[in-house]
Amino acid sequence: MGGSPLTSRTERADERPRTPARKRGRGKYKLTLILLPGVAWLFIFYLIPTLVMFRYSLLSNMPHIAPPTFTLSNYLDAFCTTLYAKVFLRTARFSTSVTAMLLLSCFPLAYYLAKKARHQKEILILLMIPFWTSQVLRAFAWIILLSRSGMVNVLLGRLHLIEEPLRLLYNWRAVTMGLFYSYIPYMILPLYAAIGRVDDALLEASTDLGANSWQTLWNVTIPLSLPGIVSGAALVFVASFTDVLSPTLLGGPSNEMISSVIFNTFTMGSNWPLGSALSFILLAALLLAAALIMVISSRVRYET
Amino acid sequence: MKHREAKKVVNSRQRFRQYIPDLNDLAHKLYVGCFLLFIFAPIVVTVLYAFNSSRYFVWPIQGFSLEWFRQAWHNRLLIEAFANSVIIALATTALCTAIGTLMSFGLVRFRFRGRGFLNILVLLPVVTYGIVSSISLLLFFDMVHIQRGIGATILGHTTFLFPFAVIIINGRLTNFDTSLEEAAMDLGARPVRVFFDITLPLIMPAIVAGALLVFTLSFDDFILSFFLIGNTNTLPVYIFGLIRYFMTPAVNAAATALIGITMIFVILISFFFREIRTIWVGV
Repeated sequence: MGGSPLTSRTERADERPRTPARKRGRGKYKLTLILLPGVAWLFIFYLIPTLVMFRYSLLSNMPHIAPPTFTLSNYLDAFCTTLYAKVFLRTARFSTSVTAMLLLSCFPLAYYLAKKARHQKEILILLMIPFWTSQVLRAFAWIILLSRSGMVNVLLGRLHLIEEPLRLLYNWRAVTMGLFYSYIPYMILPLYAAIGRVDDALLEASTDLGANSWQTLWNVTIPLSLPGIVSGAALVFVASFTDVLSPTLLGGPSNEMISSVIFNTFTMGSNWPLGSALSFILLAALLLAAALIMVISSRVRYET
Repeated sequence: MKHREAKKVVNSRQRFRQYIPDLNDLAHKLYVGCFLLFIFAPIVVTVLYAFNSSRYFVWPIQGFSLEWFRQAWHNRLLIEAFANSVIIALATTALCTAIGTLMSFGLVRFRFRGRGFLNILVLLPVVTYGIVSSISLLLFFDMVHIQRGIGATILGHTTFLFPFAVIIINGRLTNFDTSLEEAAMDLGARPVRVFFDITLPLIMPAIVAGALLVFTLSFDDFILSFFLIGNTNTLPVYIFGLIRYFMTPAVNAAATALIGITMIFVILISFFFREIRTIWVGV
């Protein structure tokens, strides 16, 4: 008798949709009303624009200039020109290296915050504050810091580490740094959440059984925080793959990434159909990546 | 016997450890310190140059001046861009909160055909938020002759930001204890009354957290605004133009004001609204 209220409550939470049978007809009507704004919005402003972009990518020229015909030449251009292949490869290289760097540098930090630090919450909030400012402003700040007579160069010169100012901006290092800095929270938050969920008793058990701290880290902590690692890496990879601001503001002409190429096609150039084809390819790549990530993360979750 | 000896060794080791500083912990602290330094460097530099008397971004800082704050205040374009950003963010937040709450209710509380599809459809804008979505909206608005400007930007922001609100509210609704609602109904409350007296207050933290997130994302958005704003500016778009063509410390002054406001805002929220913080940063 004593335990029954508790069990009945949990059971009720499981069979959530409790619409009484007599109201089911009205429920359907209500459901339509509730879902209509969101669904309509998504159809009009998301699905249709995507189709419009697809149609654009099949046009032979801009419709403002002359009546266009349908063609696949934009896709042929995008796939067969070495320039775009190079840009895609470079983008993949940038995002992979940034993901790896963030994973390696944020894991110790997240581990310390979740398991060791005394003022976890305060430090975490402190860590997040810079990322509530605009990404444009952060890029601006890095330009000031890294310029020829900026703080980094002057301080390095004072310490007699360098003879003359280094060229820190407008190269691949600056782009990588910009991407690294921008997506720190995307890595730290999932890692912190996952590591925090690892049971301390398991870590103690591992130590009691004679494992040293590296063995515990490798065999217990990392496998158990795998969901966080996967979702952090996925977020960073996808976000940095489509980043526009770092390559446009911190990179030079030889560090273009796919999104900055698309960006330039629409701002400076006027070949909208080719730009549409490129963004449609990027869209396909993104959706593929998202599907892959979903599959991987569901696997990871079942194993642990 | 052996066991006891082993224990003794461990004990003596532990006793020894008290007297030397914990190197591991020290290294960790140093690492966190360096990380914080790295993270805050851009913010600190932005603020420092806002008070610099020289107009060049040269290290070291030349002297103290409030000139750039005055210039920022009298820069009509900057103020206009700021006002536009606020208007867009407020309108987007209102729309996203309304649409997002309704959608979340439908998705969590009802079982219907196509629910799985809708759950994925709602997530798609989050995945493709960025250059791809901006281009598609630009082409769409161009095709249906919707004038680019504040209105178009609000429509664009809402499309890609209301899914964020849905995700956050979903989290709260999924863990909702429906027995409270049932109790209210058993006591004779009508559905509308139950919604406003029980459900809404309980999911309010999630709605507020979602609204705050949407507001910040909309206020900081660059890429959608860049393509949709047309002749006028939002703050990030205006600053982007300045960085490319004309760097001035007036930007630092404006940024400093913004950073100040944001910091106070975030700290207040984080410390006073624990529930919002829980949803927001997971602590």
